[in-house]
Amino acid sequence: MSMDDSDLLMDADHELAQAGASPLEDDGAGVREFITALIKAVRATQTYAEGNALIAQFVDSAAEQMATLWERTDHVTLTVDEDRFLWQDQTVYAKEIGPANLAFMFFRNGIRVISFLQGFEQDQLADFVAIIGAGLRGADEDLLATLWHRDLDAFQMEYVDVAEDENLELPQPDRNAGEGETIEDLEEIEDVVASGELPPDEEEAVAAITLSEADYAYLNREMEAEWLRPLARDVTLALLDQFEMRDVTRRKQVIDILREFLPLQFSKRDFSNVALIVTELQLLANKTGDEETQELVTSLLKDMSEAMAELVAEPEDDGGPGPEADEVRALADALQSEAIPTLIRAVPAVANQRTQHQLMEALDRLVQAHPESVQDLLISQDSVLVAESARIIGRLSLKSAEPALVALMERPDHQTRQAAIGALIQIGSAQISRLLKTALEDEHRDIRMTAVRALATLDPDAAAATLADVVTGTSIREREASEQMSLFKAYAEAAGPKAVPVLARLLNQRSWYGSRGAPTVRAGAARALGLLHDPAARKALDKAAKDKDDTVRNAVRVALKAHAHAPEADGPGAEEIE
Amino acid sequence: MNEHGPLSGQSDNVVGTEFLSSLYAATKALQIYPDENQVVRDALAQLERLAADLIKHEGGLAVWLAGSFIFVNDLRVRVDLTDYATLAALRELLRGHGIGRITVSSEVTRSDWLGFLGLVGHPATPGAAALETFEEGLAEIGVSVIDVAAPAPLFNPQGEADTIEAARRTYASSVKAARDMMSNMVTGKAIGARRAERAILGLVDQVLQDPASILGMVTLRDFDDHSYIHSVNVAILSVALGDHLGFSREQLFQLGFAGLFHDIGKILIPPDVLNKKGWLNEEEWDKVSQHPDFGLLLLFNVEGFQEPPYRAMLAAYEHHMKTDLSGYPRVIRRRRQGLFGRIIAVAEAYDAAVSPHSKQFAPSSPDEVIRQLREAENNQFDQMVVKAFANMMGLYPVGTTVILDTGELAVVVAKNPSASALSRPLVRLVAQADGARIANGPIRDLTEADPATGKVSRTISRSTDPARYSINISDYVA
Repeated sequence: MSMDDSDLLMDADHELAQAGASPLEDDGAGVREFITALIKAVRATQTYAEGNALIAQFVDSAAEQMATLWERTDHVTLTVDEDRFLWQDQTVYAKEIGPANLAFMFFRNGIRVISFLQGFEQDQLADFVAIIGAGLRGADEDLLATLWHRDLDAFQMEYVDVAEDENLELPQPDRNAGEGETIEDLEEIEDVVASGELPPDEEEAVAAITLSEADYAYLNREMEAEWLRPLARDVTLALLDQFEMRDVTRRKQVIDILREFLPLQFSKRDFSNVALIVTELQLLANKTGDEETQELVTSLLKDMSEAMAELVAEPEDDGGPGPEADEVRALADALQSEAIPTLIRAVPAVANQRTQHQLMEALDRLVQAHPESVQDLLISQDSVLVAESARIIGRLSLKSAEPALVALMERPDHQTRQAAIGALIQIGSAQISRLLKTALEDEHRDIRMTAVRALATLDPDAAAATLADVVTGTSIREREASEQMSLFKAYAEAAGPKAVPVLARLLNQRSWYGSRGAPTVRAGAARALGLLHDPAARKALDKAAKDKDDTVRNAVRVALKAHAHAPEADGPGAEEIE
Repeated sequence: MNEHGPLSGQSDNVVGTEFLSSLYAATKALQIYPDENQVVRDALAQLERLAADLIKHEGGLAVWLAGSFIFVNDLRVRVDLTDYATLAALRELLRGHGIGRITVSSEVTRSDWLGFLGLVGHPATPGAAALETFEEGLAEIGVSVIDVAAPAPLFNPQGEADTIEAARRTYASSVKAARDMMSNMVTGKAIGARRAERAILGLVDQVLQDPASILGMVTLRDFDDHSYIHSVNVAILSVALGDHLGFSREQLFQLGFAGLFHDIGKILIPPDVLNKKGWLNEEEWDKVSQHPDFGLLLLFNVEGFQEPPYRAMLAAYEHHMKTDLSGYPRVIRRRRQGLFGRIIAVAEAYDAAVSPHSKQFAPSSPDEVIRQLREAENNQFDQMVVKAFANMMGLYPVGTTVILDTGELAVVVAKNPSASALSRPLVRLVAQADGARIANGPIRDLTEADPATGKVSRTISRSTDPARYSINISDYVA
């Protein structure tokens, strides 16, 4: 099969040769050098990453080599053989047949003649080199088709259909049909000739099918509209029409197609189309009232939920513009419980607050409808997932998850324990006091602090007793100053004025050998006393106002300042403390 | 610059298009206004400037016509629909005078352009003498710096025979590809796009190279299964129309692909229903009318493209819709019918109507089908597409059997290259006026004039039924 303009080129070669005007009357050295430079450029695409400057250097070098050819000729036409390129019957490239053989790559794709024209080296060579490089790398592309579609201005090729059956039966019309025969029945012909019949209104008919500039303009507009057509959208509308107007068998076919089609739309981030599909399907499923159809739709949405959730939650700067509010709403409404894990992981990181809020609502809806789904996640080893799940359980007060949350308190990672204790506090666990007491001794400060705050809030009396043990115990000294301070404050809040004697003792009492407690502990006691606005507290502070230790003295000063700004409160008298 | 053919030369496509548009604009201006009119002067000034630029930068100026291509200084000018009307009109003007090549010397003056364009804009002498007359005209007005020549042969020395052979090979290969792919689909296999892609590349290239030769193949009817032939024919007719309208190669590819698969849904229609002779009952019709639905769904099985072939899917789905979206399938969610679907609707209707394999209708003569298409209800087809199709095929499309006013019997083998000769195609003579059959009959251009009288030698009196004369059309065309 002779294609493109190659025949013209071959004709011209023939004519040039006949005229003795072959423009490259040498041994083809220039062509060889060009092919060598071309191959180096192709190899560079295989060696270096796309965009590497070295590739451009090799391409430039090949372009320079090609430009020198144009000083002597207008085109270079190469015949492609299985293992070589021939230029004017001379071998200008040959190599053992194999995947690295450039000629073989063309040959096995059915390309039999290639021609380069002037101008090729300017802006087409780099493109060509990239295509050939991909071909040699074994990219699963049809080289011929790729080059054909690229339609390079200054490159032409002649090809055959390599897939053609050797025994392809060609039609063999008989040009000599009827030879020697005579038509017997001439009545019609004779009548026509005798009557001088001619077609009526021929001029009018010709005029009616002659295209005016306005006609071309119309067709041009239509072509532009075709090219701009929202293809995926229109295919979607057709599929939805099919779903709506046909029976359940057709609906099943459509659903099967959508299992492939929807992920493609996800990858294109076509939120609008995805939103249309999921919204319409749900409406149509409800409209039919047909259980099987509803199951089909639900099943599809279940299968797509995870991917849909990822699509919406994906950071905008990674994948183009994010979805509009109504699109998020449509997608969120369609999500099934299968989306819960994905949402739990992704929602906290969603940058767009509106989207995050919408997804949070969707997540809450799904978790409330399917609490077991999120409880199941608590046994996951993914600590982030577990922690987020626990937080949601807490936020939604899912009491049924309590045993699983309690179990989480044994997990080694503190994020999980922290989330679990937070959730247990929120759902008001019956075991919370015990758990909090245990948590006060947790190895991680944040958990201890959570427990302290929670204790003070949930059960002040129990908290007072527990915290009294903590602040007077020996372990208090091992804690950081800020944690010590928090413990003292929590104790003061929980116990109120009843804490004054304990705190006063911790601040001022000496041991039997005359030493005082650790300065940070004493300072914590002083700050706590500052919160308790009663005379006994004030007295204890006054007593320590000139303490030798800077830390203690400073804490006392702050506490006294707090007393100065606060009304006196009822509490045990100074004498009582003495 | 090379003097032998459209080989090389480096010219910006934009400059080439500008120059050709300018050439046409100046010709038209001269047809309307006197030489001294400002419009003419401006048009000539621009033409002179563009020509001088091209000559200066490229050492010369030559314009070539080769098939449907136009070359300026050996660079193919890519024509899109925006420029198409202008450049197609210029091409036809030149062809009308038998001009295939114009070579302009660097010494060309405004006066030379004036004389040359005056002749180009003058009605051409019908027939083969056109170029000779034009050359004589140039000599008479003393223009020696603009040479004209007949079109360069597009093909290798074996000429027409090779072209026809290549067209036959492409056609047969495409039919086989269609059969293989559709058979795979029946068995539920996915269709690899590569095989289909290769078939369409071949068809598009064949159309671009020589539309007449591949259009002639549409008359071949002796393959085993009409369905595959019909699919390939619709692809060819659609691509040929796209080419006629100046679609890009890529657009033609997509149109061809859509054409090849427009009826793919029929593979799911029971053969006894599909091949039933006569009218279909309601149940049968319900099945047949679902083939666009099946087409849409089946084309999701095509593998190998980056995306599903959406355009082909929509064309398969919409090719039985009318322009107001009536027809079938029913449209619930309204949208615009695509141009591809409208083109394929016309191509399909044409091929079905001329086919002897129709189960419901006797085949019609191609010229009769063109008339029926033009007279169809307004919403049946896009009438502009029908008009363009008729313009491409001519009043007597390839394969029409005609009785000439000489009493000779002939078969139309190609549309006349002259755009204005839509009723005067090229015909192959089949029988003399006395009924004697002509073996391997000569091809005659119906614009040819009798040198003695200056009147055209032959005119079509009417079309006729080839079966009446035991004529197998493809013997004369394909």
